[in-house]
Amino acid sequence: MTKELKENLYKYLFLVCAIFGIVAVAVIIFYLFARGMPAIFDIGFFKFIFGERWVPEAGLYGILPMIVNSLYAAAFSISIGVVLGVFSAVYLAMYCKGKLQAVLKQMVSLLSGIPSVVYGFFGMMVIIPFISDLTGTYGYGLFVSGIVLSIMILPTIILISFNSIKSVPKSYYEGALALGATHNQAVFKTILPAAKSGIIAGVILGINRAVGETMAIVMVSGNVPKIANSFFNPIRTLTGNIVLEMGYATGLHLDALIATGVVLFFFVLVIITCFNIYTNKSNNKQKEGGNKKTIKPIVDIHDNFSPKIKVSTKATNMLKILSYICISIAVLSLAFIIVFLFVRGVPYINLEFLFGHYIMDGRVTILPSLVTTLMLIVLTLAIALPLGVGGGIFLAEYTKKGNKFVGFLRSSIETLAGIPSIIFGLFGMLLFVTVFKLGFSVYAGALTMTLMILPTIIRTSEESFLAVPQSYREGSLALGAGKSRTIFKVVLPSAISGILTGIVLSMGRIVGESAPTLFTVGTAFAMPKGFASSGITLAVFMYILAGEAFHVNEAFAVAVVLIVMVITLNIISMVFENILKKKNRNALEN
Amino acid sequence: MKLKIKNNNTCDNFFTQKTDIITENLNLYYGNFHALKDVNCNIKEKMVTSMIGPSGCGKSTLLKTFNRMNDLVEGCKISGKVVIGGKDIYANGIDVSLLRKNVGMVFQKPNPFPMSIYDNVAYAPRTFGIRKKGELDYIVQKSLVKAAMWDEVKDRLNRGALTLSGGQQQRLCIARALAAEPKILLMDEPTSALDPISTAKIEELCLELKENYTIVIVTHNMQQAGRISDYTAFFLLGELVEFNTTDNIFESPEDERTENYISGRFG
Ligand SMILES: Nc1ncnc2c1ncn2[C@@H]1O[C@H](COP(=O)(O)OP(=O)(O)OP(=O)(O)O)[C@@H](O)[C@H]1O
Ligand SMILES: [Mg+2]
Repeated sequence: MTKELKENLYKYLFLVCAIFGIVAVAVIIFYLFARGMPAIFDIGFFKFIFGERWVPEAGLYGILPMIVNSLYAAAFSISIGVVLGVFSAVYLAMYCKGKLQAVLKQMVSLLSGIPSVVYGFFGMMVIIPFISDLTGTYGYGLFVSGIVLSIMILPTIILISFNSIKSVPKSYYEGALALGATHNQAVFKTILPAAKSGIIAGVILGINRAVGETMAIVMVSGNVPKIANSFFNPIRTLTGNIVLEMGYATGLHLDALIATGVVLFFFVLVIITCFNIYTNKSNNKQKEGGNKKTIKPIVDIHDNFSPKIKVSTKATNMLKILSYICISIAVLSLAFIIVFLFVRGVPYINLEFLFGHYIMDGRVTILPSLVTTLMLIVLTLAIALPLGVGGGIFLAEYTKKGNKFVGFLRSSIETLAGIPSIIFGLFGMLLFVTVFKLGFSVYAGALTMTLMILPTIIRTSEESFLAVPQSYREGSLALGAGKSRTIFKVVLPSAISGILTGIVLSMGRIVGESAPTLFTVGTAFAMPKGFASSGITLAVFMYILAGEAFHVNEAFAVAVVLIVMVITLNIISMVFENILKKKNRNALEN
Repeated sequence: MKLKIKNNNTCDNFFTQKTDIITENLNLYYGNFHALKDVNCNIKEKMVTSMIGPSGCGKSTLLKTFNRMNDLVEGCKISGKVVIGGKDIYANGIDVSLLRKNVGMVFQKPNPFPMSIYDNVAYAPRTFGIRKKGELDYIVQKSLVKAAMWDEVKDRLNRGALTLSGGQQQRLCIARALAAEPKILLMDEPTSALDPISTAKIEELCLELKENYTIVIVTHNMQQAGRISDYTAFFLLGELVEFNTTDNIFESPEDERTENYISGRFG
């Protein structure tokens, strides 16, 4: 094989990996629309979108309640989440230093991966009884859904806002102080406005998470398909509508669920587009500031005009106090959730529970679900890793800035990252389970999860390739090595810790997700016999246990196991990240 | 057309006397590093004083003691006195915000906020509680006129300040500082990042502004010091070697080290 041929072969191989992202998005969209749109026209567009009644047995498929409830829940959770999140980030970035800052930030990032079933379970066990006592209602509904969602999106908003506040140049702060602003005034009048675009991007991601969240909402919302007219009405969201009925729906009913997916997808696309527009704008340094003002020119400037000044620091002092309150609420509620679950769950963890044999006698053991989860991780990574790293190599090593096609590639990958997990679940069930005839199996689950984690792996590996100093490549090329040899022998080894970070993050995702595995891997309690057999992942197991009245204690124990697994994975990924940082620093010093 | 504005002449009365800057046995440490050594100087009101000396000799450090920007540096300790307008600015009970309002500062790298031109200039007045549009408009225009850039920007006050050129940004920063109605203006190498034309504009500005302001300017450019300053201070390794009228420093320096530096024999 000639050298040129080999180089081209590799190039196209990596290109194919990268294009997989586009193909996936295209196929998902095509499949959902191909089945969903006919259903919408069968039912009647207006009857479907604006119909207020959803009674599949009677042939009534109106999803207006679900649309409205989804928007209510998202708006409610976002308004709490944004205030708590942004002000907590202000505290973290501007009012706390050194150890405390590091500890609190670590804590928030560790909590960012806690599975939604765990939050939902906490809502069921703690918030709902409390609200029920307080209001005399069942407790399930809009209010609790909003609260649970806002806690879930908190880490995302805090971390993104923190980073954008931290990246405001220090000279702005100094400039403000030199003009006589106090620390508080500089923080709230200069730094926060300067960090605005990054914070808004974080908020948009939070909205996306809130609209797309499924399992936690199903557990606390009450699932009644009626428009809420009070905070304490039970609600059903778009996501809930899909996951509650997709397990048994057939015919037009199933197509109506797919059409619900289309509507959900439409909302998500709008949100992601907003996000892309916003981030592009904030990358573009030419910022226009301020509201429209014009000054009537004054002809006569007399220098003896000096309006009375008054030093009024009240407003910004209040904002400072608000930041302290918000961080306290955020940290205390996150800590309370963890401590509460541990206190209730740890006593029920024992060897029998962890590793006992599964027998059908009502005792709970998590061994089969641990094994299933492990198999799912292995198989998913085996598929996703080569694809993702290949795609990352293509984006980092073979593309030029400003190429239209590459921009399109990137935005498809962004889109894939923003699609709610329930859509993957629905798609996986329709395509892999049914059309590919894989049935409920680890295979079907792994293919579904591959689509979900692909963006993470592509992005983290691209970033770590880009972080490899150019001089390494030049050194290798100067010795006569070809491009592919340079990539495999020099770039890839230097980027390995970044890729490992991506892998570990993806593992956390696989462990924590339940909506995509519920109807692909299935809900079989028995030990899986192989990749072709069905099983139950730990997160789905937790969901099932939480729904049964007799296994509450075991559900707490599973929650603890899930939290420990996710936090451990997060810690490992932080370690890799630190290794990467150190390496880069050394590389710069040399 | 005239704007009706009440003429209440009190501003803040932070300085009640002539705004000379006097340091007495000023010593400054960054941790263990002795950055300023027994500096005694007397900077005169409504004069331009330039500070020269090789890199790292403490010019910026001294400048920052005049508006207490050194407070931001962790591990920075000060002994001795800095007296401005009869006030010991390191005494207890000094309102640092008001001090910085009265002692304006322009940085080496232009640092306009990512807001509109108008909002940049209105920043300090707003910080000090001025909210009425008429009053703000007046201050904004006056400050831009003083900074000699009103005609350039009067039709685009809503434009983002970051869209201006480097020289314009620096003059905007001067306007922004003037809008706080300071008595003193500190400038740390304000032209080192600018082209010759912008530099000439800012030098011209200094000469105009000294009618009303005390100006202290750090510069690496001897010609610049010669062109614009009335007094010059020469520093070496944290020590104030010589402080005299600019003519004396450049024509008949008393200290051999000053002479060496000025004639380019070291530095
Ligand atoms: N924040 C700081 N922490 C520790 N040391 C500092 C700090 N800032 C300045 N120094 C040290 O103090 C000395 C004086 O610094 P300064 O910035 O005042 O010098 P300068 O005369 O302004 O120099 P240049 O002409 O390069 O701006 C230098 O040796 C510098 O390394
Ligand atoms: Mg300096």
